[in-house]
Amino acid sequence: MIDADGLNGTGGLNGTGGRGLGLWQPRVIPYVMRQLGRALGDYERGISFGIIGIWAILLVIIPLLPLANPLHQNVNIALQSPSLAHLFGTDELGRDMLSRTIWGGRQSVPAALVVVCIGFPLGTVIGAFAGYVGGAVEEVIMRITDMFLAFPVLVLAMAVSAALGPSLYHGVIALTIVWWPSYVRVTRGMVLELKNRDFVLISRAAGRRPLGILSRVIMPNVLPSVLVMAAIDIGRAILLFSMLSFLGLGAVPPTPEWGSMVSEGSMYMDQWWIATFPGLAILSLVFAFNLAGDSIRDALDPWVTGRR
Amino acid sequence: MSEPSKPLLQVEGLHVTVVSDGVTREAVRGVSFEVAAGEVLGIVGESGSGKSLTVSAVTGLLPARTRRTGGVIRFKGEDITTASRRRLTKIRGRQIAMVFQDSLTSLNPVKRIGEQVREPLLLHDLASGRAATDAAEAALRSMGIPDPHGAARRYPHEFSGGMRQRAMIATALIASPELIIADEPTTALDVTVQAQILDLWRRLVRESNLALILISHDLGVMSDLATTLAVMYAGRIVELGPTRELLARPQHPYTRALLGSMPTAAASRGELVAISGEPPALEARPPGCPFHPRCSVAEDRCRVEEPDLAPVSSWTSACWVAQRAPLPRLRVSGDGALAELTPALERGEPLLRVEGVTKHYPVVGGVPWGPRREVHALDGVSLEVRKGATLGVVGESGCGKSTLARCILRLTEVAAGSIVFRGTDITKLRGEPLRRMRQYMQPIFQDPYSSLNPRTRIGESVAEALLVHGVPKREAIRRVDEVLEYVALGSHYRSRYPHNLSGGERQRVGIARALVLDTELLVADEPISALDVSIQAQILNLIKDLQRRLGLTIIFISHDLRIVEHMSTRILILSLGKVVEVGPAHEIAERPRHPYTQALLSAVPFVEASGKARIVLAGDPPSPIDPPSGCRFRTRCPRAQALCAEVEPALENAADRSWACHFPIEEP
Repeated sequence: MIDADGLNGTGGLNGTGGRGLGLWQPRVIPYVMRQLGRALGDYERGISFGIIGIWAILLVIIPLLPLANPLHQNVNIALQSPSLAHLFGTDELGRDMLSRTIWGGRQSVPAALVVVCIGFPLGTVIGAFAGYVGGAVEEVIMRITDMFLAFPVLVLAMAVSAALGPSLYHGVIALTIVWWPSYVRVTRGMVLELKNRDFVLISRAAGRRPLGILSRVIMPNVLPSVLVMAAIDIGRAILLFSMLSFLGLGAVPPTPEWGSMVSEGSMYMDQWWIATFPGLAILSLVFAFNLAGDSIRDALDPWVTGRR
Repeated sequence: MSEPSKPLLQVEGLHVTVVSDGVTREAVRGVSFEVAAGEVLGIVGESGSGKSLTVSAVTGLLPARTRRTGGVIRFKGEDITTASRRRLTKIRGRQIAMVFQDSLTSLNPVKRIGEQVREPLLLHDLASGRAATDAAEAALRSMGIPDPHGAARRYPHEFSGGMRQRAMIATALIASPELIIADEPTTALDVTVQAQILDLWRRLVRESNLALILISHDLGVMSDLATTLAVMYAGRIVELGPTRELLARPQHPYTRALLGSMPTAAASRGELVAISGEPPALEARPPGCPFHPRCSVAEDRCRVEEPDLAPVSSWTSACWVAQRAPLPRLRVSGDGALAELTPALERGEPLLRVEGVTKHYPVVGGVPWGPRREVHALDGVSLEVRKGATLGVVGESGCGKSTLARCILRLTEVAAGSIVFRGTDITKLRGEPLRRMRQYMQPIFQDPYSSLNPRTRIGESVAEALLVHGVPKREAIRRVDEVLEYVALGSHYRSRYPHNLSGGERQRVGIARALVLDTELLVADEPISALDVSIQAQILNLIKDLQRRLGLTIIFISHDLRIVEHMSTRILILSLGKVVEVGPAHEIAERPRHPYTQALLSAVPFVEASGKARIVLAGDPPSPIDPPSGCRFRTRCPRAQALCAEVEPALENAADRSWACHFPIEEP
């Protein structure tokens, strides 16, 4: 199986499990991103965490910024191209696009963080347990995981929206349900590979208890790779939420949200600024998280930092 | 051998540089040699000596970030360094062929053997279709592969290691090349299979008038096959001459040290003459002669000026000392101290008694409704180790020696039998008592790279066993320093990570780790097979020294009977999960009773010519999944008779040795 990690040859244990949700091919984009990152060389870490940091600050302090009200409509100035008064232009209802673009991050970014922050620890713990214990327990856990993994995320989101009404929270629920299994698969695969390594056997022979072996010996070797995956996944989750909103399943108008803004903008092809700026916002964050994943791995990988 | 002819391949002043971390360093520095038809040039050297880069440069297949920066390579008089890419492709595979070490990764797993063997013919338009297929089958037959027609239709994973190696040789030879380059072609094979393959090579060179360049780290293999020997160190050839004379009277201290660090029949009991230090890394090559920091005869000049190859005796050596006055004949002698100690040790009380241990693994794969198959890893193995003694366990791959180690260490459950250690049957232990028992037996594993947790500092790794057994931290640190001192590593190693350490250093850490508790029994599973030759002797000496100082009992597991004989007081020969012979080390080595032991002994290529004809076993070792009926060795045994297929021989005892054979070799 060739994936992003296989291609650039540094992944090692990464990429052992399928982590696509089947919506789009996630392998190509991280690959391209990483190649871009490679070209940026040493600035990788600075750029990625810089972008993430700027967005984090922006999203926290928005209310303090001298921005127009993102919900304030003024049909007189509808569909204005970018100008000094409205740096990013205005949309069809005359709302300020700059303000809307920044406010838009307050929807999908926290939602993506919540999904990953629940899915990552949950999936890692379950996967580590399944891989280490093995036998029937592993079988049962993995089949249940497969069941969840088989849920088409869009259909599930639609079903939840249909049952509970469209809302970002319902999107979060739908995504969380399908998000953790990918970590289970990856973690389990790595634990399986590691648990018969010599250094694990030596720890057993030294008399370490099973729980200690799993948490102190095996997991330190697994976590960095899963962490990298989680970092990249934040970008992916942002993209997915934008997609849900684009399809009208996430944030409800008039709340500004990047996906729904792109969706609205797609109806006004001549007014390029409406779809472009939210789109660039998504791009910048997804790009930054991909780069961040890469630099986290470089920083944590003992082989890259000091190869003999 | 052959009449003096124009050399087929001439390499002059070859330089290869490697770029790492943005710095360009010379890995091969002015290597010159030539090979004529019918000649076998052996290039011997440790990892990092530049031997593989040298031949990669010849074939134009240098790895990424390496570049040939100087020198001329002439193949049949034509300078191939200036040849076009198309011309090179034509030469490669057609006139120069290669055989690699790992036959499993060198053969394409999804293509049939026949297709791969005939490929060179198709690539070079030498034959097509039917003719090529027939040629491939003929080639397989001439390599000694039974049923070539059927074999050509099989996939690489269906072949054994020896058969794959034969198929690779067939692929290399099918286009009748004039020069073959073989990179460690027998290193991955069992000794009995290695003996077969070496025989095959010898026949091929003789019959087809080939030129062969053989790369190996094993001087035994070299003395067996090579007509000319080139010894490489730190990117240069330091000694070059006719193999037999050179090995009898080596004129470079490095060659001499290599020979001295090998356990040989003549000096099997005493301390090995280990070379101190390690081969220099590319970035830390010392000034002057690169070997001088490890050299016992180095003088002032060696520290500043690097010697070139110059005639010494009837060949060339790059050593100032030897060039002034040839070095004397190499004497190997043991001190015999341990030999005297042996009988006393063998009268001690038993520390470990293994009785009838059996372990079968289910075979994974196949269809779920198919027959359930099992690997018979161990079948009723019994042994006894006395306090302070060393039991050597020898066997080929798949004989169950690693499984035995894991059973004894209680890292895997046994199916039947008992293991009594310090008076308790440990197969029944669970939980807390098992944990307490573990402090008294510790493993050392083969691969120093995988036996240390890459994310844990050395200090923590070594201290682990202490901490999990509740030793206070301050006390643990003191103890860690103490054991690091034992293995000749300072306490400053505590804060390092494994990736900063060389293979030899890691293995020392592995040993330190095993000694940090009140270890009584050390189970060493192939502790040196992953190390460079010059480092192996250091580790063997260290283990022996520690055994003397700490009164350790050791189970020393290896595929190499030569090394086991050097290390052990008693030897146990394991074959397909059964004990075939056991007895005092020197008796087993000198007077084997079981034909398998005899074949193992005879198969090891020794540097000193033994004069005896080598016993080469026919066929492959049988699979442990379906072991043969009766005696499991009978399919390859030169003495086998009808009885052997029906009745399984029991272990027969005589004095303090036993063997399992219906027709044992008579006592002389």
